[in-house]
Amino acid sequence: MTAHPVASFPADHDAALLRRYRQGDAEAFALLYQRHRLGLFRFLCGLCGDPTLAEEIFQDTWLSLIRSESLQREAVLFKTWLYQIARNRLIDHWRKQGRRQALQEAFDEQLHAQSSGEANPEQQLSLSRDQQRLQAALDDLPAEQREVFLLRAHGDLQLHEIAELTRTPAETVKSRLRYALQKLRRLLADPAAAAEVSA
Amino acid sequence: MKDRQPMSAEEQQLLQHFREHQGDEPSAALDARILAAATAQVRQPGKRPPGLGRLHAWLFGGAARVRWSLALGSVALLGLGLGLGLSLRTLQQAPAGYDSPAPAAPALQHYAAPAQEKKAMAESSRLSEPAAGVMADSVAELPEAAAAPQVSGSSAARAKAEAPLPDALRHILQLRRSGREEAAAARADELQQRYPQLDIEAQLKLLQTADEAPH
Repeated sequence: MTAHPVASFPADHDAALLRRYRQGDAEAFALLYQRHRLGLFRFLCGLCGDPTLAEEIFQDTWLSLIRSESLQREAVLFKTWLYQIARNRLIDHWRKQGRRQALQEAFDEQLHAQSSGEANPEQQLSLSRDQQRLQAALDDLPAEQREVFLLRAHGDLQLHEIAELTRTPAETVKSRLRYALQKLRRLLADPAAAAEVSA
Repeated sequence: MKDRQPMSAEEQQLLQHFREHQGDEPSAALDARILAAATAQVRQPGKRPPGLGRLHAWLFGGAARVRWSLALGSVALLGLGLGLGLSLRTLQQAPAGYDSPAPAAPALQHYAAPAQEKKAMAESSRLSEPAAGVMADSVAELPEAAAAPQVSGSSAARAKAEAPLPDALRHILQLRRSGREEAAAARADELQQRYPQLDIEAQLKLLQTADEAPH
């Protein structure tokens, strides 16, 4: 199974596949799963930073979809619906574990708004490819910014879809994404490469 | 679509970087568990859609065009089969008397036919006396017309000679009434050849008595 996590599929195709699955076509589910497995898994990994927990939530999400008799609501994209289920499952898990509800905390956008002016294009090109560093950079983001960035990167969701999913005003989503991008660029700029270019 | 704004090159680059290098992937075992659960869910006997639901799923599932053609073809074939079956059944059950030879024995015809014919003839004679004369003339010409074919053995002559017994008797009576005794005798002889055991005179008397009886 090697579906690209962000490959764009027509939304009506997802809805048609889900309808076929509800009518007893198991192959339709396999197609649906193949389309969205990688994006959803990476979204969860990035959000919680724990692959084991990500697997648990990922499985719960799909099993919940499998056991549900309901069809996708007309006005909502299948993908938005799927990511919303996963997000709610993760929040429920954190609640049960007594973890602070990071995704629901108020966040002062301005505190985290830092200019990325110091990172020039050469530095941006030399972004670290080290996976641990990517995760560390994600972990360093405020939870709300991390969530918006991951939904954009791995869910390939549009801003208004993220706004609907997180029940947040679209403008807020837009600014969270902007701040997240700025901070990630700064965190991932490879100092060694930057030094090489400047030398 | 609203908010579908073109991404800046920087944003695009960063997103792509994460997509390519964040290498987490669900394990094969997890994939297998989820797919097995999905398959088991639709194969549960209680979870199967009812007949109409299954039909709907079949029609609107993959290769819908082919499936619709198949379904409509089957319905048309079923209709054709039903139509043919009904037609054959109707033909088999059609009354035997309409277009098949009368199955009744001559003895039965003897009692049944004269009464009906007597009624019909009485009606027609009461309604138009001149017509009866014309009829008598035309009937009188029959023996001559029938004589030649009888010798030649054509099918028309055979049909005439083999007229039902009551008709033949009535014809002889008519010939006698019109004074054509010779023709009547000739017809009687022919009839005697066909029915050697028949007492033609007795039958003629019975027929005459029935005709003369008051209505």
